[in-house]
Amino acid sequence: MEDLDLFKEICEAHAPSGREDWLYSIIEDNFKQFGDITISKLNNMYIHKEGKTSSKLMIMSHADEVFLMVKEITKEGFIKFKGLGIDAKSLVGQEVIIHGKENVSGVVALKYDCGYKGKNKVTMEDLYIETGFCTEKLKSFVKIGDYVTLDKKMLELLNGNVSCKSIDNRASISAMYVCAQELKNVNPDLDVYFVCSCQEEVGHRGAKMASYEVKPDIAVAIDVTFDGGILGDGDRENKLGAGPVICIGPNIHTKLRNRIIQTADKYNIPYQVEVEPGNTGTDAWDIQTAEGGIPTLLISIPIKYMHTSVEMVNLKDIKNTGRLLARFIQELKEDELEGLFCF
Amino acid sequence: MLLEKLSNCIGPSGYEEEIRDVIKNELYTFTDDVDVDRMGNVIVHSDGNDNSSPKIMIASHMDERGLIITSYNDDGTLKFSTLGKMEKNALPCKTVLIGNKKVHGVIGIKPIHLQDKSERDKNISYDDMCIDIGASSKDECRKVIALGDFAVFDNSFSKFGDNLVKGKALDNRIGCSILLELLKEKYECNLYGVFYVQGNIDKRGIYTAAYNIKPDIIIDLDTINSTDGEGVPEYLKTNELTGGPVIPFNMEEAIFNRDIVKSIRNKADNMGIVYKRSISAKDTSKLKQDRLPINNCKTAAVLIPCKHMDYNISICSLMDYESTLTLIKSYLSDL
Amino acid sequence: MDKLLIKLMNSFGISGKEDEVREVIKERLNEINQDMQEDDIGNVIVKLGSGETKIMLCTHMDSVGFIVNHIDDDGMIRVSNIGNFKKEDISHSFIRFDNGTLGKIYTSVEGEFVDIGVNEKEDALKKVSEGDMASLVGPYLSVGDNNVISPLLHNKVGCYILLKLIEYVKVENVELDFVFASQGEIGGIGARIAANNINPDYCIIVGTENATNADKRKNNINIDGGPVLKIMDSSLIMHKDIKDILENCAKLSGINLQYSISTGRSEGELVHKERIGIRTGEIAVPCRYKYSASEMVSINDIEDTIKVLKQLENFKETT
Repeated sequence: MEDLDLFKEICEAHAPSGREDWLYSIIEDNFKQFGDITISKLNNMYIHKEGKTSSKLMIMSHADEVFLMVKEITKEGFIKFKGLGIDAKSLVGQEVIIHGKENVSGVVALKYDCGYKGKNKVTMEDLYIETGFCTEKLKSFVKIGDYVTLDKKMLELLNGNVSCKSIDNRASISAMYVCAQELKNVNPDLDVYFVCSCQEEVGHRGAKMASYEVKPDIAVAIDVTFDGGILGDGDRENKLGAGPVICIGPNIHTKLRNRIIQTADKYNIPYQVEVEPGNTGTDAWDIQTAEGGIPTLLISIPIKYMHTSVEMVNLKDIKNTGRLLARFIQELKEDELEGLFCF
Repeated sequence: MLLEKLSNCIGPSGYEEEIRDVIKNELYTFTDDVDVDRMGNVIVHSDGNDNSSPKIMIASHMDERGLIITSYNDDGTLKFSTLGKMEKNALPCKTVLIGNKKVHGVIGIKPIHLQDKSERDKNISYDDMCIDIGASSKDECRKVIALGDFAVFDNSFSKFGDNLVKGKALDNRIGCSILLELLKEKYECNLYGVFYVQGNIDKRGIYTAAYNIKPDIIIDLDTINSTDGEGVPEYLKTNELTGGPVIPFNMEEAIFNRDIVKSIRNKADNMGIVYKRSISAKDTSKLKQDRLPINNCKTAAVLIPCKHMDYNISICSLMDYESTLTLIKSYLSDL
Repeated sequence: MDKLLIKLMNSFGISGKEDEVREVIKERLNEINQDMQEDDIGNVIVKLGSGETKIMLCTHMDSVGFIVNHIDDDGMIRVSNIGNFKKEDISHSFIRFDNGTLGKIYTSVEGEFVDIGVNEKEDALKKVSEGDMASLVGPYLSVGDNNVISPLLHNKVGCYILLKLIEYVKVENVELDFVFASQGEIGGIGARIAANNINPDYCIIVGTENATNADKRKNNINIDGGPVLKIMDSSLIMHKDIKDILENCAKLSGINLQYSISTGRSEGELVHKERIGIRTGEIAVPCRYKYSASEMVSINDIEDTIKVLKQLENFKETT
């Protein structure tokens, strides 16, 4: 993929829920060629590409990543922390960065009696971070409430698969970039808003705010989903490399979903489907009931090992998600919308 | 930095090719008397002028903890086990390099969202993990990785905290680094430096090296797990980082020669070097007198504290490095 | 202890039925000749000052309580909780219904029962009916250096703080909107509506936070340790601008803050998602045994919180 550099850069960057503005300058540098950029006080980032008409389409990818937060600094200089979304089992021996007055490098370790006797499962309470500094020195640049994120470089594997932290959800932002690139010299009917939303990992909070701001006629949320493999969700058929996953269920507008499947078939873009009977656990859930109700789609990129530092994605899937959305936007005409929306 | 170079080298227990070559090349920059025995141990002889002095062997194992590929899964991922004892909880979500071709892989586990209650409540096992190289099928995987291929962790060495360092394989590249620096000096005594193999699998290499050399004194230069983590009870806080080398009389059932140990300790006292006396040595490989295939050999150990030596990444103190190096240099100069 | 706080603690105010406590607040505002407004959901709003920046200071008037589900034949009144709290923490406490009927509450595996001292359903029905609301009630104890033990300190303490601020603050070039919100314990409903109407630049919630109890294994928050900034709980992450503002106020008033990361919920949970997003954060008075029948706070912490927030009268935008 030509823009592997951008993907690598945004995955390796750090932007926990609440501090998505740490990603802002990279997004601005790369997306400003596509439209006007604004950032809200709560860190929703909007890139507005004007269309021929005033009917609006909002594409949303959350910018935040899962993280840890400093809860206590012990007298030996160890950091106890609260985890948000990360499995304690995946953290022992993990290198992290503590974002205090300066960035401090740390290693997560297991409390003494846990490792030795090998008894029950590992929980957050059994873990601590060490920085190699004594407590006085540490307290001069780290305090309670400071964010801690995983420290990982991107790794290229076989078949166009890559592994890194924060593939959830930087892969979706990358897909948005591909979509914007493909639309660069196209003038679609719809007024397009690319939105990097805030605080999805703590409860998809940015979705409602962005819907209020943009008031779109249609919304597409891009997120990641589980693969159907041995260490994935056996009930799903998702395979890495087989294309974007189109969601089916009450959270998704049926006619709109059929329309995007039509587009995929027309342009021979590979895709997969998955079923969500209720809350999809993504921004799509809050977008659908925002304002007066917004017809919503959810397109997901399949990944392995979600919410760990070794999340894995296939670059072809990112590219095809971007292409699918670009073709969909290009094809959708304003006069079609009434027909799509009526029940 | 020499330690950095050695830490980043590859050489898990039983597969020490790369580290052996690197050590040999380092040695060739200042000596010719380098030999490799049938088991793969590197032996350096530095004969001093004193014919009456005893043969003294300082040994440091060059292998690191790693993994070995045991079988293929149907979906193109791999099953593995460890080379040398490792903290199982530290295995998930690490990056590895497999085999001589250094193929990249990651150790994956099931996402927390998909684990049911019984999975969440139990300890991680090898069945819950796999090594993933991005292969899409068993056949593709077979072409790239062979059964029995070794793997090491992909963590690079770096400075850490307050005059500490972190990296993989500090057990026992720190010992090897000190030994290399020791061998650069000239001493009066009859010195053998041994970089032995399979140190993490019960120190097997040291016994064959001893058989060939037949030394009068063996000093094992190794690491010991530092006990300054969270939750360590007071009576076990015996070897913290920056507390200096550990010079014990015994490691559980492995009893060392009291005279040798005392003379090393006296040297440290005279030089004002801080050191630790007692240790807790559970689950560590020990140099056992009864396994030495020679008679009349006096053994001792000088151990450098190393934190998390059974994780993918460990931490050592540069202060401990310097004080251990200085201590043994002077001890050898006295002989 | 200040009579105003005692009066607030003695007034009945359960989510959805805050009449009595609202009256106490309005009466106090009248005493100090302060204009106020009341909106459709029952929020009481006081606007002070004017300026380019609008800061909303919000606290909820209601407390947790109980609602009558069913009256058994033996006169025992089955109730369920209004608000989120553990029934073990309130068992065997004194109870008052909104119409003044007194009794006690008893919780068991069977359910939560209020006993008003009758033996027959008909006698109970003379005093109480289905749908009636009940609250904890009780005396207060002054203990320790300057601490008080009482039920319902959460959230009468918040109302007290805002009333004191309204009385003493001298606002310069900023608009301060004080909101006494309704239905806070059931999800911050009044707060959200107020925020939607006012559309402030910043919203500071005033509440209480769990402090280390006698069971010792809790957090690192202490009573008489200073006001608490709630950095993150399960419903709200304090916006960095609010953190900067409050830290600055604390520095100017020379008061030490504590920081908490907890699993509770904040009244600001709906406020920060309102409109295009409102910068929100909560400052809290440490409180031991929160949501029990006898909570404990330090009066020093209450006064320190007032001192910190009073600094907002000089607020200036820094960017």
